Amino acid sequence: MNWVNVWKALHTKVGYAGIFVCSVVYISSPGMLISQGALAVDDGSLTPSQVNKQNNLKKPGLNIKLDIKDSSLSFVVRTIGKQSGRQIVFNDALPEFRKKVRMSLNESDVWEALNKSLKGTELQAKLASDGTTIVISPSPRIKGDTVKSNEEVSLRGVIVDSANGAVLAGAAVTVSGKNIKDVTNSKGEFTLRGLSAGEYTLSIKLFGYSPVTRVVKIVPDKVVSLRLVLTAMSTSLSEVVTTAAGQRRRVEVPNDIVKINVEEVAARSPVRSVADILEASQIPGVQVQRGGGDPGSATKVRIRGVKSISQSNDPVVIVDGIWVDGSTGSPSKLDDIDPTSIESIEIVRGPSAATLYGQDASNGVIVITTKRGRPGPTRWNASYKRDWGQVYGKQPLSYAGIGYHPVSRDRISCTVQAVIRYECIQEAVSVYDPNDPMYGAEGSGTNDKYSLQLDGGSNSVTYSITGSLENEIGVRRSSPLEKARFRRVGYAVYDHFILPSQLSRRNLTTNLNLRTSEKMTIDLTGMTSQSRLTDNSISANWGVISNGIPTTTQSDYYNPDSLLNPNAQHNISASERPVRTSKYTVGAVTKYGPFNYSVADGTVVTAILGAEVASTERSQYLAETQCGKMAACFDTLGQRKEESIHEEMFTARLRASTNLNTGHLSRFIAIIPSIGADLLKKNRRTVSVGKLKVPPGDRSIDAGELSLGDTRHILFENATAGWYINATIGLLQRVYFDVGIRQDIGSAITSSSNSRYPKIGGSWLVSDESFWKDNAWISLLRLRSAVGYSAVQPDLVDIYGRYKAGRTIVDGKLVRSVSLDATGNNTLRPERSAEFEVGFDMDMFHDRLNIVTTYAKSTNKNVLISSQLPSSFGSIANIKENIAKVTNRNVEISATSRIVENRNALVVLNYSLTLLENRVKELGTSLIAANNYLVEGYPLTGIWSKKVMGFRDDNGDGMLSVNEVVLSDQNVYIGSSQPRYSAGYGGSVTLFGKVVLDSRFAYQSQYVQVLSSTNYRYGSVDISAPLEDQANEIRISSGKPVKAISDLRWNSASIQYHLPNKWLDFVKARSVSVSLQGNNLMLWSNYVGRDPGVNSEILQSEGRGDSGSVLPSPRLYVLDFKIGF
Amino acid sequence: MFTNSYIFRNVAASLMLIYANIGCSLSDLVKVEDPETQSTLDRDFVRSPQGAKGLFYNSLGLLQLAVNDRNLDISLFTDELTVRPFGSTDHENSLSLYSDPRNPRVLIGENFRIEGVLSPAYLRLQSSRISAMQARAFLKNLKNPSFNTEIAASYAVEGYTILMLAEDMCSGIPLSEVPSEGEIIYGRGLRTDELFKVAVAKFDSSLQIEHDSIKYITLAKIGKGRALMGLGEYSKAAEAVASVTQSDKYEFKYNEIAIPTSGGTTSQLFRYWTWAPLSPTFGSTTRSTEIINNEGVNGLVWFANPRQLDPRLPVTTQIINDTIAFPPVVRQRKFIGGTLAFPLARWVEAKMIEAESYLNTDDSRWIEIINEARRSVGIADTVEPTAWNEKVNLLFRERAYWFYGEGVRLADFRRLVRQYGRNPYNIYPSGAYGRQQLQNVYGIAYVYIPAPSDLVDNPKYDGCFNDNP
Repeated sequence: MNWVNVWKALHTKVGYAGIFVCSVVYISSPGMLISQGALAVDDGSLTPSQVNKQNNLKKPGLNIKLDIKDSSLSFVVRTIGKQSGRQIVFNDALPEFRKKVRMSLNESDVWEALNKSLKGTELQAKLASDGTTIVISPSPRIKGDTVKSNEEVSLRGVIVDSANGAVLAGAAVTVSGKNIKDVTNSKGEFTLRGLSAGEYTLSIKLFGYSPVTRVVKIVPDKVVSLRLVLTAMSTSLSEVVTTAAGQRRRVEVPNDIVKINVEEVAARSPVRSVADILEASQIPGVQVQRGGGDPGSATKVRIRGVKSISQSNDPVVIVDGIWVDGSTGSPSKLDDIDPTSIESIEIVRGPSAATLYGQDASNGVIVITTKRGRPGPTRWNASYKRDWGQVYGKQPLSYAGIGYHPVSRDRISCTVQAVIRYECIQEAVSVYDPNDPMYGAEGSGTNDKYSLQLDGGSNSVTYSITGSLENEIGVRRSSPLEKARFRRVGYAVYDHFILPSQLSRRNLTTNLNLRTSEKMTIDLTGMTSQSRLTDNSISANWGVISNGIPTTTQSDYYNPDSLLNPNAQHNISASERPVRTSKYTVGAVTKYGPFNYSVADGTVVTAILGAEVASTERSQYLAETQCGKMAACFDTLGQRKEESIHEEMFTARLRASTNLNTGHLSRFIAIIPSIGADLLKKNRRTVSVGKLKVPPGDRSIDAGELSLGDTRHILFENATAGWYINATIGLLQRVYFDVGIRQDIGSAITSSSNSRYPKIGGSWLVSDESFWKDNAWISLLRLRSAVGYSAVQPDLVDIYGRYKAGRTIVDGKLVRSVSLDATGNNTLRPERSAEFEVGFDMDMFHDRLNIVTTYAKSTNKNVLISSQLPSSFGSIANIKENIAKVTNRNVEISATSRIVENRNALVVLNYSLTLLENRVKELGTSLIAANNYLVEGYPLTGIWSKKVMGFRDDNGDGMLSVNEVVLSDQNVYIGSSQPRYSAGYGGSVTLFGKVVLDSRFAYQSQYVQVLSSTNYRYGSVDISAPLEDQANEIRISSGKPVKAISDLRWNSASIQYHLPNKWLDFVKARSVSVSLQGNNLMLWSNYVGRDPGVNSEILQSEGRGDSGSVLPSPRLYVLDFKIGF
Repeated sequence: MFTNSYIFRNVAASLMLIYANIGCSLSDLVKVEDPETQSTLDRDFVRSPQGAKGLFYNSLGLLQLAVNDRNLDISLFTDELTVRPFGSTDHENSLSLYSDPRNPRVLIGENFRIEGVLSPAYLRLQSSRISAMQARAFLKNLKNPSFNTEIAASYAVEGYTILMLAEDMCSGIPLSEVPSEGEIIYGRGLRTDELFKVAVAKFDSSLQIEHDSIKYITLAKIGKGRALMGLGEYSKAAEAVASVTQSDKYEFKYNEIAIPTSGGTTSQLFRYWTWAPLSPTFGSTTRSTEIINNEGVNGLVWFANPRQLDPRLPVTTQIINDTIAFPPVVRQRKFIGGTLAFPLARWVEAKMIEAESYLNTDDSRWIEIINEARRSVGIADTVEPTAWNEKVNLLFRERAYWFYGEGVRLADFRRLVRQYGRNPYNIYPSGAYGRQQLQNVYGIAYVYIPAPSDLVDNPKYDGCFNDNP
């Protein structure tokens, strides 16, 4: 079989179809070492005979026909369910359901059919409390069943779950005062030997269940058989989390994987995006950076710090098993995923946990699971949310010098540099107040979001559909003066100029789960998102408007006494054209396929096929008639630009795992081996065309003359394929090991020896050990540690180099030429990260306080640095080299305490703390390219600048010149752009189960931020400015000023009210809630700018952002109304 | 247990089988299309005739641009040209437009460093050389005799780039290579005489390839002669250029249109020669060049009276009305407009090489050749001096006028010191010069352009050798 052709065929078809398909597999409970009751049902107490008395079952349909020969009981039950149309819930992990059945029925009702099929088993059918669902569970045994006792076997028993009667394997049964103990096997059975007649105290422990103590009396010649029931208790370690090898209980995973319940977060915080969810969750080690406060502003997520200076630091994002693009963008495609459609988000933080996810996973993994349908009648959930946003805080005054050129005598604005170079003789200083209503460029923004979700289904088919519409108007406004200025030059002021930043978004997520046979399940998820972002010149020039940056085009703002050339007032630059609108469209994820195939007990084969296709279209048109007096149009007709970005990400995965938790050996050891292989392919193609001199009336891109500078074709592709083998091993149900290795090959990996990534980790439930004495202080203690490797591969272009087309003149004629654009470096290897993680989980004070603490140290070797190629190679710029080593040390602590917990009130407090230390350990000997200012021993994200050593106004003119300021010869370290300390604090109060109050705070300290806007606020252009400020401005020529920052932000506050049941009955609704939320309510900071939490350059550099001219995050007030039927 | 392990083993075996089956083509599975950036080409394209010729044209274009930049640099560095200064930071060799930090900084004087950098000439010479080498490799792979002309020309272009590096730069410049995709070879530092020898070898290689393009043959012959002159092998140089006729030449034909360069910017050839042509005002970013006599004390007296000038160096005079009271400005008129043809190799250079060869054998035919050349442009004969030093002075004065602004003046200075034993203090411009003499100071110790500092990143680079000039 030609795999490549198959793949290409699919690739082409899917690509041009513009949709994607994907499949995902749901790994059922056998994937976990301890088989738990997978179905949580409301255990009704009615037997079939009883329910027949119920009114709603008085007229059962006689519609069951069966002719079964040697099929499993579970198949029979499903068939009965299908034929009757009744919801029948049962746990098919129970061995009884695997028994073969022969039976024949004709025109029977559902209860008759069930009674016959369950005959001879220890199962019984009951009606659940909803009055329609039928639950099949083990029937209680009659106590006192006995077997003959003897010296060898004194006591036998079986342990079951109180919720559904499922047998429980792995439970430790010990006899107090004796060294006699056993662990239940996969059938939940235990045997205690060596007991003579007498009374004994049994202690039964199983992780995730409340310990039980039971007194047993053994009488001679009387054999005792016990049935013991354990009740599950709530512990976060029993939660199921997602790993690359499938789902595991948290206790089996040696890493701290955080799982976010999205609905819970959304109920207390105004979340509009995945980034909002991550930020509101205050997860230690996870940092969200924002590009600005506009709709659709880029966001960047960093997990456990920054590891690379030239490669991506973006985490891998996986939605229902398929990779999607989580890279930073504007708008970010990560943020196109509708939070309403998400069930949970899991954060896999470092290489030690992410090893098996393969190449590019060393920055962590964000695992998103969409909402699934639940068996039962269709449930409807609708919500409406409206936000009001406003930027708070005043802007500092701006200053600008006005003067003239010494030679040309032209009136110009005097920049600091121009004054220093004697190229501007300053006459006056204008003061511009951006807060003046005449100039004000900020108003109130709104966001309206309508969501509708429905789900339901049967045992065979479940479905979930979530749709939402969202319209957002940003807080930017065009000032009265701006509007007047444009009218003056003959340009109409359109609506999109008055409201310059708007975003509309439509999302539809569908999930369909099919159980096509006993062994096969198919999970189909489709997710589409369409966004339209409108921005224009007013956004692009907001920095100008907000800061009064002195350019001649903005002379209206700072032209005291009309000193500037009046003509300049009409000179509206091309970049100010208020017609630039970006239509941004993204089609997200659709998936198809089966392929969850249960081969036998506990063995599951999973195949996943999926794709994300996203397209972005941006267009800009400037008609001839719109040119007015704009300088850019004087020599042209109309102008047109179009840009199309097409991105595809394909995922193909195959995985098999089995549960070897059977047989006698499983009392002591249980193993889940897994193997898997996957392929990931990314493709990004950008085509942009610019045209000039577009004739009047012709808007097509075919018209006009090609503008060479605006014509581009960019292609980027990347692929990795790999396989892994993994084993999760449990010993005595309290010690777990996770061992695995992955090998990758990639489009840019030149040596396979560099792409093998091992991992090993261990988890020990200390509190389940026999030596652990139960106490009120610590009810649970787990120690865990893990080591693992992962990598980020280099870009292909950095390896092979590239040629580019050009033109040159030969013999006086312009000819097409080819030049070497980059040499490449074919010795490049992936950046390889190793991470060591150690930590503990602890429940204290009767589970009132949960603490999770982790220390992680990662070392990223072979870090790719852009180094300067010696000039003996000509004008070829830089090459990448594996020359650096970077370390990150993280301390992460999170704690949850329930300080009040009773029938009427629940008070929960959350704390989180992150300590991050980033260091460049090695840099090699190559000459680092100028744009990477790196020094060994300092952070990768360090910001350096020359320091003002002293200043003196020698000539007494009140203005410092460059000769009157002494700067340090070298740049000095100012600080890191990544906070060293981050902390979150929040709490919620639930009263009577109906009212929830919540509030959150976030603190960051010891970081610095570049702030360019001070260029225009102080300095030598303003002779009244303090000399110290002027000296700082002189320093600007050597770098922008940076500010050390600490800030405390009141992130959110909310009140939520759930309608009581009697009101729900009145409106015939299942649930109704109303909440009022506030976000970004207050900021306490020593930062002189407006908002240190945003910066404009997060797309270009690792946190070396400039917050000078960026719109701060607005303060939001939110009304959220939800109703469910 | 048995069932599970049996099935699992089979599943594992299946996965391994899949892996093994696709193992031979696993790399195909992850094969992706070549990355493209703006105007980036498919890598296969450079292996086609169009691609290989495109690389060759690129080497020619870069050489053309390098010569354009270099000639201005050399003229400023020597006594041929100066910049009309404006502002406190405005030095002759610190043109703000030359901003690539990887260009060599100019060092003039023992303790005087100009805080500026030269034009991209050096980088373009090196780029042109690498492009010529790559073009030749691809052209040879095509195994088509019709490309012999381009192959021969690529040797000549490469030879010229090395020749100019030898003439301008300090001794010790490395010639690095990019032999294949993703592979780089650092060159070791070559002494000046080694660079000249390599250049000669390149020209010889060019001349050994059969083709009928006279212009490229002339380019190789003159280049070889010029390189041999740098080695002081006068008779061999004369022999190399002996067959060049008066009609033979290789010239760059410039064009007024803006030329896209590799960096995506545009550069109009000889723009700076005609900067702000006779504009009455100067902006903060404009400069103007002029000619002055006795620049840096040792400079030539280029004109005694602007109205009675050598026709080989036409000039014009203009009074500038600006805020700084300057005397009238004398501007060169040899390079004006954007459509001139610049001669890189021509008959008169062959004649000068022959004359110098005869001079060094004390053969009086040298003056006859000098006068033959003068008569070709209508200049009266000159008389042969009696003293040796005067003869040498005359020869080099003739060369100065013939090749004004053509980037050979620095090489001539260096040869005068190296081959004719002249004291550098009497050859190179020294001391204050120009209109604002306090701001413009020549030194005297350095007689070459130092190597770019970034060459230290080349592990085989040993720095400039101490064999000045």
